[in-house]
Amino acid sequence: MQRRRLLGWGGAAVLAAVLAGAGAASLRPAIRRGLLTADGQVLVNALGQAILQGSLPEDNPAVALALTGLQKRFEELVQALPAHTQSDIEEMLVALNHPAGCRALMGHSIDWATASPQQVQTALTDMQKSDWSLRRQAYLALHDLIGGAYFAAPQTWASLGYPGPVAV
Amino acid sequence: MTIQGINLTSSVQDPILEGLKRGWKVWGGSHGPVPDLITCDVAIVGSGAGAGVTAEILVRAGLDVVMIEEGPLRSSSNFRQRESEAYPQLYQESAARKTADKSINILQGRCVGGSTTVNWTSSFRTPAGTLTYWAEHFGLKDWQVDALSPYFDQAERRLQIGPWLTPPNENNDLLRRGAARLGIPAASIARNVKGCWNLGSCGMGCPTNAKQSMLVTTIPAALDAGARLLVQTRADRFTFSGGKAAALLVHEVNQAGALVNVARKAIKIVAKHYVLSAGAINSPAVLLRSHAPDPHGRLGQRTFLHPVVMAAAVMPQTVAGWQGAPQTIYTDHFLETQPIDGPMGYKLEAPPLHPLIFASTVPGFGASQAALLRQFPHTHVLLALLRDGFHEQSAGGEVRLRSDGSPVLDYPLNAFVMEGARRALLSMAEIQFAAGAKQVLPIHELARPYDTWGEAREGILALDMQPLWTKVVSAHVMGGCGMAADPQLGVIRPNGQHWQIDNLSVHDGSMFPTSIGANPQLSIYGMVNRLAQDLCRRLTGSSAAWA
Repeated sequence: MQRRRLLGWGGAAVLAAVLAGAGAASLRPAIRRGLLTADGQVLVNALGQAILQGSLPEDNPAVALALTGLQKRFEELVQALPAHTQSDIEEMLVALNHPAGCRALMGHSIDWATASPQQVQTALTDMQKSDWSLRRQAYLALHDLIGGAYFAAPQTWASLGYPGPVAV
Repeated sequence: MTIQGINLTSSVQDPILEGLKRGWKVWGGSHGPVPDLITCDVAIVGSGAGAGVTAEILVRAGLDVVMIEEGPLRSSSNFRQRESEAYPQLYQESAARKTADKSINILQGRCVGGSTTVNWTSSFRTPAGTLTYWAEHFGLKDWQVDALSPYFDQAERRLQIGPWLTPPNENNDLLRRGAARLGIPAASIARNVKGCWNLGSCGMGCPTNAKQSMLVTTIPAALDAGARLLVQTRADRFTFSGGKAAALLVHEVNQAGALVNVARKAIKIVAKHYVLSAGAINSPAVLLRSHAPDPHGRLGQRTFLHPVVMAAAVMPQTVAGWQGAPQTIYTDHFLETQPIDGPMGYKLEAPPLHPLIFASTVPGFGASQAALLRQFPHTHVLLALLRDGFHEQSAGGEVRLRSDGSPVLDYPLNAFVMEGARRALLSMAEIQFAAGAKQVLPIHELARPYDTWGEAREGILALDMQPLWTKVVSAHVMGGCGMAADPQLGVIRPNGQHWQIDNLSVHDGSMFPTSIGANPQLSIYGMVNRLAQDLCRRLTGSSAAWA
């Protein structure tokens, strides 16, 4: 990840400086050309369990299946976006995947592999309510990406009481 | 055959597939590579409201027309009423286009038919007050109600625009009932439909071809008469010579908008006349990429959105906001009770509700959001379209280019706009409680559901109305190539012709010098009808009526 690209994300200069200080070599991509890396899958799972708590199925095998579907649809959603938006998302996720970047963006350090949904929710609440517009931008992006990817699937519609479209 | 409510086969005839079988001249995407050089009488950038009307009128006069559309050609066979398919295929930036600070989400079509393929059919003539303001401030004295009336008559005939006589769905009837209890007048919205099935899926492409969009009306008519259509082909820029556009350079792009072949040179289109109908944002962007003359700094300026704020109510009864024609009732009470150039007025309507967009709109996450989402069948939503562009503190936004040449709209949500947004949230909550709401949630990150009108009033008055907390969206992008009688005030002349480039016209919503103050599709149809007839006379010496 190049510092030049990070500066391309609206208002991300401060974040770029934090990450530049951390050293570019320590940055690990979470999504590359629209496909989640192993780190990215862990990140999306953790965000999904926090954001979708109460909407995800209740039993463990069904949750695992739902999260796998979420990852796939997350990728599809990102792949359909224009290049500049894909770059924004790549930069946001690479920042979240780095301790310094995560602190800058969420105000918390999160180990995505072990974090509880409650820990992630606490960080999301701070982003949502932050006075810093960059954090609010990132919060809204995560909210829309996770919610949009999850409820794109017809299997999730029953939880909303939505019967699906009328056949034509 | 259906699976989980999804139709896999449609019983409806598909006029696009039939036209392709008849030999329509379509290139790009799956229709075959676009030739390196194309010559024609008129090249039209876009295939939406402005492009469709212009193409049909010019082709009728015998002109050789080529249309260039960035999005794909999709039709009723593809329209399966699924958001996950519709947004990436039919909308600009997969329905996630945002303003520069990401505080406003913009819905614009990007497919053959443009936004007319995915809009919600609401049809209003341009309000008289808007036209009067244009005459006073932009010198458009020939653009008044009486002068435009015949052009609107023709548009309404051609596109089957008329009263919607079916009873409104519950989501809309709640607006009617709530407003009536407060003594606020509300009325029905005319729609451009023929044999509508009342499905409620207009925003995902009409699966029954009832919506009289450009996709099923003017574009097929133009193609049947010999026009050519390039799809998945992006207009990059014009080249100029001697004060005229010499060529239009275009590229083939894929579904996500990336170049299909980065090594291929630009495709060249040489025409006698060029018409930009790519929509506000994209039309000014083509001119910006072209370094078109802009001696008075007007290009891309004064771009308007009708910024929209929303309030969601939980009703005791089932609302099923996904079912039935969307936006069939409106009230202009809050536009008409104050001066057009005073504090921002707003129009209230009731939008359709579908799961993906609903989940993205409901604020919060976790258990509290899940509880709100479970109320989906009982949820009623109102939206307020804020009328922008009529006050010195409402100058709209500016279209700029990113380093990769893609456009971005910088639209500051200043205190003037947000004061209007707060009043709109108050009006909507009051109407929703009057209609019997159990709870009302203004769509704002820091709001909570309120149980009474008094509580809501107090809560909304205390909200910090900052961007990125207040949810703001838009589906009406206007301006950026404004029309004016004085070259210092606009980009195009009152006849649609560019002030500095003789053989270039702009025929789309980017010509509006302010917002319309109503859903703009019929304004585009009617005004472009007039511009296209005028252009036809200039190019051929003979007249051609539209309908």
